[in-house]
Amino acid sequence: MKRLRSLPLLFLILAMGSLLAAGCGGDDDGTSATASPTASNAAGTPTVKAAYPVTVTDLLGRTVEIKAKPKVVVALSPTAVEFVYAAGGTIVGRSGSVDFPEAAKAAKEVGTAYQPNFEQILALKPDLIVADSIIHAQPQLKKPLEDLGIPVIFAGADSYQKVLDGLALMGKVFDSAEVTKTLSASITKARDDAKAAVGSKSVSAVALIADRDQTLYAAKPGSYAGDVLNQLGIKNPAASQPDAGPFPGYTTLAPEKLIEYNPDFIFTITPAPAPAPRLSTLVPQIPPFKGLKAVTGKKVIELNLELFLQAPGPRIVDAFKAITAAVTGS
Amino acid sequence: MAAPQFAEPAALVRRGGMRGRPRRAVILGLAVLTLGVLSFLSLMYGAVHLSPGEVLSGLTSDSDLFARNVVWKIRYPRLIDGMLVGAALAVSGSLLQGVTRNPLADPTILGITAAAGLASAVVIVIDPQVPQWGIAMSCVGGGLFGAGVLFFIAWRGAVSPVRLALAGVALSAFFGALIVALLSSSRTFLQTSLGFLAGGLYGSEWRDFDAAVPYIVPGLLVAFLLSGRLNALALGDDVAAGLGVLTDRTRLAILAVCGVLTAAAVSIAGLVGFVGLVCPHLARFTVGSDNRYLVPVSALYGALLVTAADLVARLVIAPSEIPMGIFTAAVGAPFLLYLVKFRG
Repeated sequence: MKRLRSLPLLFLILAMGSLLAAGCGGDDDGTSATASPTASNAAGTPTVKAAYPVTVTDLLGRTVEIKAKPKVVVALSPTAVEFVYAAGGTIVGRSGSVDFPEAAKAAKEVGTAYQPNFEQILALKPDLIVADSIIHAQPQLKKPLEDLGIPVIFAGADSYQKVLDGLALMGKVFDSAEVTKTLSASITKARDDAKAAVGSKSVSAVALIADRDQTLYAAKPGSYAGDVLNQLGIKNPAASQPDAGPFPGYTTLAPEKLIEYNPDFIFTITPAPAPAPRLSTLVPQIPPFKGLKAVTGKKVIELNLELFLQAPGPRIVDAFKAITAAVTGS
Repeated sequence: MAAPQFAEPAALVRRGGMRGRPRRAVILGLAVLTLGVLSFLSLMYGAVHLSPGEVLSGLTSDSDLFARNVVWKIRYPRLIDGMLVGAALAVSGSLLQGVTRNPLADPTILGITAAAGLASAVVIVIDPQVPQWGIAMSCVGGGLFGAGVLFFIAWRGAVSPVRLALAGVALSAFFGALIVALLSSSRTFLQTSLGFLAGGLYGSEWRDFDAAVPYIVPGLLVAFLLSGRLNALALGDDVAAGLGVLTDRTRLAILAVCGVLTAAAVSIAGLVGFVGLVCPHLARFTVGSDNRYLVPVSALYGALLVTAADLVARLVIAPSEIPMGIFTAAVGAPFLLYLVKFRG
């Protein structure tokens, strides 16, 4: 009887041992599993011209070899999706909450940007994964993505320059460097035009977001929205603030600081979806803010959430235009 | 000295006598079978459903690359990670309940989970790119530190189980507050902090397994070896000393093992609650209070609970998922309430 009772223990130890052994063997099998598809792909490439295979350096500085023009692509953030389409590619899978371009909406949703579903990514059998170098840089997301055995490149944007870098990268990946160069040139031109129109006005502005507790955060040049202001030569009094609060590139902004800055323009971004009141309607209602130049002059302006926060990318042209329109009053 | 706290389950063992043993064997057999079935279901179901054939092919060969990738790279390591987490936490809980002679003891309530979690949060904030073995190592450091502080505070010549529990509750609140403070001001944790705080297995893979196994497997073996001495401690310090057990050293050793096991679990899954509390009670309900059986059976139930909870967590709102720790509490709490009301 005693022996009978110790059986579960024995089972457990045996199970642990066998699982351990299985775990140790796992890595070898994994690498051989990834080796086979690349071999078969390489065999199929002779029809493609000299453009492939191409080795690219992604925005995390990783070198990735692209064996053939990517046809089945999964993009894991709104920015990644827009980069792919800007380079003439298409996607079969995407993160949730992608609204642009229209064609991308039909792609299958594979989890959210912050929690991609690895199984669904695999199920689409992609030949390229485009992850976001801002969102997916943390090891908890980056490593599992790299381990899927599918080529993965990281491209994201938290600045004007990163948009250009991302486009150059995607041009190489999709063998469409001409297209992306043209686009980059038009972005640079849009920036220069906007800077010429706005810069002469010599205005100051802050870009604010608020969290659920209505704590205000001001964009610094290290953030995408902050860089857009910076690129146009707009003075950002919050630029010299130390990084504080949970949002990279933003600083916690005490109300008295905003009063001290008294900027010409207050741009607001409201992350909460539509029924929630926009920050641009809330700010003028806060009593201490009622005397601010921007409030009395009705220069508290809501910015598009996608353009300035959720989907930094090739549409930066529209972001420049929005700021220009607001500042010049056209 | 106080009488053993778990008088009734002990009586159950006696009452069960010869008739009770086959029944227990049946229950344990069922638990093992359920674990097997749930494991297989875990390999089959998720955001993408696989057939049993695909699962087997994914486990054993490279012939179906998709099945291979899903089963071998995502689901199987996650399943094994979950079992390790469950076993480690449940064993830790059963040891703590034994050593404190308090049925409420559990690594979360005594602050060991929070100490390990704090260490991991600090390391990740300092260097977001820290490798997994570094996280596991710092967790174990934190867990041992937490257990050490607990021992130091609760010991005044001799331990009072009540003092140990009170000190644990205070430490848990303290470390927990520090974690939340760190998370709410940190930039790196923003996206993953919910999964970390509630406990979850999203994205866990062989890397986590490799980093935690060197702590969990030896920890479990030592725990099983020490479980006999726990029986002596349950009789009170005088009797235990009379039986030749060095009571303080044994307590320290057991707390250290709890620290290591809990910390390794935290390094994989974050702050999973309730497993360490409810599983020992389930085990006591099945095999009585003899720790030589109670501790390993707790491990079995821990693995079972986490496997079940993670399966649900992955399926409820697929392709997104809910942190698994929410379901260990959702499944564990009602069962514990049942035991308290009708069996306790």
